[in-house]
Amino acid sequence: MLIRTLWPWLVAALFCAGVIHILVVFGVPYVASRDAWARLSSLSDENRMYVLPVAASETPLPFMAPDIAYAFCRFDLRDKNVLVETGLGDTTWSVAVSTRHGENFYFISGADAKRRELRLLLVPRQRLAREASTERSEEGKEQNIVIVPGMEGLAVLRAPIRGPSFAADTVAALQNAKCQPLKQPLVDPATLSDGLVLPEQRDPADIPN
Amino acid sequence: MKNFFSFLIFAGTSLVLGLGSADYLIDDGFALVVSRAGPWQTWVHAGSLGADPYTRAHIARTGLLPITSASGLTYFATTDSKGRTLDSECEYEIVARPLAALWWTIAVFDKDGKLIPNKAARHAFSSQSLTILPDRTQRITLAPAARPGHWLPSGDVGDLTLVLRIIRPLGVEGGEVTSRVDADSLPRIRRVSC
Repeated sequence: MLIRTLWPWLVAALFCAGVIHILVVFGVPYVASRDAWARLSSLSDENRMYVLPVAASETPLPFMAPDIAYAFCRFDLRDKNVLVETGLGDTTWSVAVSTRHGENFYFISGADAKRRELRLLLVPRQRLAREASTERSEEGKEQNIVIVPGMEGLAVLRAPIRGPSFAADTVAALQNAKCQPLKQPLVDPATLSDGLVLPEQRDPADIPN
Repeated sequence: MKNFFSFLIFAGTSLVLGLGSADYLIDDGFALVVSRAGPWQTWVHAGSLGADPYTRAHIARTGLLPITSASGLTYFATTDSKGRTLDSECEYEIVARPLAALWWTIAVFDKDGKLIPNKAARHAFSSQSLTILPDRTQRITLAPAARPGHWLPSGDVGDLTLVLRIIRPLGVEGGEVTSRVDADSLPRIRRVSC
């Protein structure tokens, strides 16, 4: 008798539990207050490279490899493209560029790059069509254009340390890495949402040389 | 009164089942999103642009910063090869065979992902720091007190987590090089004493 009375409620409860389950699973990435982005935001400014201490007792992220030196840059492309420059100590060094949720859309290791210096020009997808970016900088240096799906994200350099005696040298090499906005100003980001921007609508001062 | 009682059962069941199942699957995953090989497990889509919602939720909740599985694999082990929880008071032998990869490393952490302080300042061994023995194995002893050979101190933190990172895994499938690791080639974790 009790079951007969309750079963519609139990069926409704199962359905409602499914909805709650889906909402929680999809919502967690957007409400998590301790994800990698939040943890790194608390100790960094945007568009600057930071080298993390190796094998520190307190690391900003859990399970960070103690024999890898890390450097990271939280980039914001709303105003300007960002240039990431680093040397590649050996074939095991790598640079990963990800969204703020940690989804990598670009990865290159020293073994792939086949050169000792790496320049990555980060350009948002929605601005790519109007950019005059090329795979060679104004100074004639080779650069890889990385198309970024959003306006912000993380560039993370990982440099495996070959042994304790190499730690200081590896960290010192990482400290030469740079992450900075390009000098020339770009299109006003306010015009980005409406899609097309005609050349005459742009401030001549904003047009890259 | 009867309806109120029914509603309470409805609300309680919905919340417990909905939140509980989400919590469990975000923490532990399931066969489609987590690959298990002996004591090792990895979230196969972690760090990928097309990651499934469970992987995205897991990464957000744990604060990890993964790279894609094509570029590197990260395996976690919280038990030995017989399924017993890794305990810092016990001694373990980790037996690895050289992995086909650009570089790999095994590190030990407490259950929260923090390094274990020790006088030797030793927290990991990598493919470059491990000696290959005549039987083609590489062996690490995980123990609270010093041991000969490659000793990885476990301190007195209680539950342990071992993390195996493989940078640029190079598997071979059908004669083609792939970014996969044969599950049988992952290190074995044997409890020696406790």
